[in-house]
Amino acid sequence: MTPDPPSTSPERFAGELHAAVSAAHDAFADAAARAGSIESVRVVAGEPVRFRVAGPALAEHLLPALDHLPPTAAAPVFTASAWDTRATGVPVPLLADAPSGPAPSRAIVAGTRAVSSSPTRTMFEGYDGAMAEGWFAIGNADDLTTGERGAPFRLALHWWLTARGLQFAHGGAVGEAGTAVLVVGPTGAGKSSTTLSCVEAGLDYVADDYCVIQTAPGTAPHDPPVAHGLYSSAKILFTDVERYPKLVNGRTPRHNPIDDKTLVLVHRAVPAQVVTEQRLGAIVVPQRTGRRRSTFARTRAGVGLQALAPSTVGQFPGGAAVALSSLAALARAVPSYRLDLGTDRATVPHAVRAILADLEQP
Amino acid sequence: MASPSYRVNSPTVAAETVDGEVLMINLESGSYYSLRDTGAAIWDGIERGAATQTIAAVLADRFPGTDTVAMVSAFLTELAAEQLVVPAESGGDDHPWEPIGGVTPTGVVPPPPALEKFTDMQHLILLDPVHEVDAAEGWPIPLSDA
Repeated sequence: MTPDPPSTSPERFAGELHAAVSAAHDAFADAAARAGSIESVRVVAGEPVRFRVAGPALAEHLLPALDHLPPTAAAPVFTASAWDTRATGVPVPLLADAPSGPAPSRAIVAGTRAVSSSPTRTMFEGYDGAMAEGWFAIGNADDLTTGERGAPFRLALHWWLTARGLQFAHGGAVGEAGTAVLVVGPTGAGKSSTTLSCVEAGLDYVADDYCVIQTAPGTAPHDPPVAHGLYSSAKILFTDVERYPKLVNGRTPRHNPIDDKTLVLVHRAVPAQVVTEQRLGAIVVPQRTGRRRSTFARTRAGVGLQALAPSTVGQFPGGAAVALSSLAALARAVPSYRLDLGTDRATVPHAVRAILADLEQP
Repeated sequence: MASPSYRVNSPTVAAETVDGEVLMINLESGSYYSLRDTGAAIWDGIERGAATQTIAAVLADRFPGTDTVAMVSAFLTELAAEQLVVPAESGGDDHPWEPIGGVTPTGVVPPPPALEKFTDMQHLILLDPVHEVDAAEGWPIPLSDA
């Protein structure tokens, strides 16, 4: 009899991974049979993707942030499916604890498969490139954070898009006249307030928290990078909603007690400003200052990459070297700017527009 | 006795150089690092598979009068302590090269290489301990090759 492979062997992890994606595939079929599913096919970064959600509560949470994506009758090249246990009775296919012991979450990636499993959240995401499918499952739809509601199927889409040569970026993107800037930086640096202040001031919205970067979108060697907006969502601290009257648009914001935030669906508030694809002209790194006016200055490409890459790599498990390489290619292709945020928020969009104007200078 | 040579500790460490500035992420510790100037030039040598004494010799050509052997050895020890480099199985390449741009000009006393370390993303990078099964093959396999 052949002995079991060592507990940390690649064969063991690959076996776990195969079993997990197979279980997810079967579990969604079971969930859809029990509770029915809501389906739509939408264009994601140029390709038709089918979204399926079993359980009405989860559908209500996940699908609105994708509503701005153009529907299509084309046959989907990828299917992303989701269910929650409370509505369907189908359990979340969590991974077993790692050989090193229990952990809040655990990921395995190999070849064309990937999973991330969080027993403390009772949450699972998976991907199988050969099946062209991805899955999201959670115990109770009401446990979703505002960020998770605003960025549904984030890991499944990340894994699928990475295999297509596209890269998720942790950053917002706003623009004007066909050119966008990617606003990057750690939580609290002013990334989201920059992006949303610009939308309030009439700039185009591509993304708030996450967007997808394509560094070689065409056949020409110097085609500019493109930012794709996957989610039409903005998460705002509940105490800050009065700062964004245009985005709140007279609606009564829904408070999420899990994180004291509210989710704004940007396409419902300012549909004419939402674009799903825009040429990317610069990386912008905001930082708070005590000065009144916002100002900007060109900075080193390394500053832009450093503000962008670690937080992106940290939020998208698997393929760190590929991700860093893609983000470095972006930092080489477009200039980086430091945006010194003033206390007068009205000056922020002026500074971003000035950066966009600076890009047009010879 | 020749100094030990080192290689990048991949796949634990992911690194990219942009405009002469290096960003490295240690995926096991969650720390990330930045290198500029002479530090970036030494990293360039490591990525080229150069022997430690060759890296020192290349820098000595640019900075006559500087004890580049001591400088490079001390810096490699610092990189090794952060698990960014590990001893190379082979002795390393001895072909010289032109150091990357951004290095202090020839003849000027170079600043000592400085490793800037950041730990503010550890909570994110370590959140999902990742088992990359096909470390040698890389991940993901592009869909066209699958």
